[in-house]
Amino acid sequence: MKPEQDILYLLEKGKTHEAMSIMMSNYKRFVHSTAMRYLKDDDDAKDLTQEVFIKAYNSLDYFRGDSKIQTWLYAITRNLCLNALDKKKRKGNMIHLDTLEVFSNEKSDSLVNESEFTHFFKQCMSILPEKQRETFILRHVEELSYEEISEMLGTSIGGLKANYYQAVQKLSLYLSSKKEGNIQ
Amino acid sequence: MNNHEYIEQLLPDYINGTLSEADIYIVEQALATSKDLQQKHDEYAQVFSALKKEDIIQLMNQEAESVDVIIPLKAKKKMVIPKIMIGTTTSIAACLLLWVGINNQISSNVQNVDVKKIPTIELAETIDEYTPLELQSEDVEEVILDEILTLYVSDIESGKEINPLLEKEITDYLLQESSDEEIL
Repeated sequence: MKPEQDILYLLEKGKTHEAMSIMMSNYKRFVHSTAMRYLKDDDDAKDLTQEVFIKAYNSLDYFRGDSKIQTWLYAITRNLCLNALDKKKRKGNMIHLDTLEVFSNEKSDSLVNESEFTHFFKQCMSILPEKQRETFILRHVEELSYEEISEMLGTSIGGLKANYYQAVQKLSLYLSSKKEGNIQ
Repeated sequence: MNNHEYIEQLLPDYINGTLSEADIYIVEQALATSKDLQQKHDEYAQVFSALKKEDIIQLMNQEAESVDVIIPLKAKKKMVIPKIMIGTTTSIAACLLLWVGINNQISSNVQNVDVKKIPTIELAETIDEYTPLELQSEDVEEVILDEILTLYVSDIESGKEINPLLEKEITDYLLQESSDEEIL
């Protein structure tokens, strides 16, 4: 059985903890990577991943299996990320300039420790707007259908196909520029 | 969108092997004749070669590895009653209370009626349908005496079998009546 079916079966039997255990082991990577793309901070993404699963656990009564678990978790993650970014934005307006300088130094140190591919991947993702980036990851990495992505992002299938194509087009241009040495 | 643009938009899914057979045919026909499309195909293929799905997943797994998701047992899920249910529950409770109230009122009315009940006597079609006990009742005696006697005579005339106890009661009654008259 697929994890999705296992989870639904266990939930039906009232074995909530077992269902949550399978859910966490199968979707931890998905939730964390989604949080990372939105928050761009590992610690925040880790905290948010924890928060997502607690929220999912507390909201199991709402989950009726109408949508896929992955779609449901994506919706929770996205909502919590947008809330966190909103809070951060409001808080950020009050941070002193000196503090910002310390943060920027920390970031540059952490970049040194990143592998070449990690750095490259993050750069690639950073050139894409949110919708194109999410569509690219959900389609290319998570291998979801346009129908599933449409449910997650609330965008039409035609719009998603255009987003995916534009993302690939931008990445292609970015790679060409990189090869020509215009970008490091 | 012209045909060339449409086919170019299909290229990312064609490269990843996620196109339908009909679309694969269209793309391959176009690729065989258009050098521009072939060039685009190669450019986009480089994107997917640089950003391999397996590498991205490996990276995401590494990042998510250190995420410890713990669902605290104490944070046992709350019993959530959806807002719509709150209204429904209240309505059901109100209906139940109303029903119980109406029932109590009805039963008390029935009791009151019982207390003041005036015995009604249904007339039997033939005299032998009356039991001796009924005939001994004062109510019966007074209300249907004439009718009983009429029916009794008619039953005897028509040769119907009469209940012996009933016959005895009526005979005693008639004898009693005639002796009373003699005394008078």
